[in-house]
Amino acid sequence: MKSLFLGILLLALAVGGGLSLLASEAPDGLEHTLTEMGADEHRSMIDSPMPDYEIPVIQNKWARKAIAGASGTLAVLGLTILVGWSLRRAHARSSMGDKSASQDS
Amino acid sequence: MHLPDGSLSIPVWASADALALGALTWASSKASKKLTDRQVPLMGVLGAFVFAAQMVNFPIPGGTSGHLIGAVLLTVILGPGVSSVVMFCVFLVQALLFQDGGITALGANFINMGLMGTILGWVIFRSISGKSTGLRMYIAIFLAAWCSVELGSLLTGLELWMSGTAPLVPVVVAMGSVHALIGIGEGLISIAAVRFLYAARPELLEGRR
Repeated sequence: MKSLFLGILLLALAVGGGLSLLASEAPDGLEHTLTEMGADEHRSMIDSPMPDYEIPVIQNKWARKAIAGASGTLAVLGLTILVGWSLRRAHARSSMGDKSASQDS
Repeated sequence: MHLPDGSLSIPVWASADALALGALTWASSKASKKLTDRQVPLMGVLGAFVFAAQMVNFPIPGGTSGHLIGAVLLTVILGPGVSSVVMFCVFLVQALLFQDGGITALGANFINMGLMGTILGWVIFRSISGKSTGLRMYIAIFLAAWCSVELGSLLTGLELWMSGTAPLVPVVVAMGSVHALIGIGEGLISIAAVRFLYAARPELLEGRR
């Protein structure tokens, strides 16, 4: 099972930090629609460290995208595992003594 | 299909955020009851995969592009509660680190792309697939994936209209026609992903139970 999870993670990193460099540059369906409707002027409410999936301080145009994509992939991995683990713990604490509750239903 | 800040009016994004918060609370409580130890690393690597795959825009005829959303493939594997939590994590990272989707529109994006797949897509999947693990299951995955993208895009169009950003008929027609094509990509990638996991570890398909 461990090797399957590791395999999926390596695939995710290859897609996020590699294949994504070949992604179509065309606007997506919503961006295209907003442009058609003349509603494509928007200012983000926050400043993100990697806007548009690029790290601004890196000069190389491939590296700035690849590292941003791989970092995001790892950030999602970390966040979901942290959240999943917290949910598991919260449930284990609330159903202490009821061992069957934590079993797969 | 990530709505940026400023594309929705305050009443629309605020009510979407409130609705999303309620749904997320429900999903978290459902997920905490269903989660097994083995599912925690699985939700991690699948969340990472969905995030990565969302970066890969494929070209669509007519000068636009689309990308996988991934909510249906997650809900088939992890069930509606856990997959909703994972989708929220993906949208949160996208909004905070990458400015992909506005922070005010986070709730709307979670509803349009997350819940439309993890809840509505799950209902469509379950009602079509029954107990099948064969062809019928894959047809169910395709239809659930296609419907989640198409209906999510129509809902996005409605929100833009309610916000006064775009006129009703043109925005719904524009969103619906592009995403009818993008939905085909969603369906095919979802089938491939579930088929791969089912071949490797059939017992992992929690959404089948």
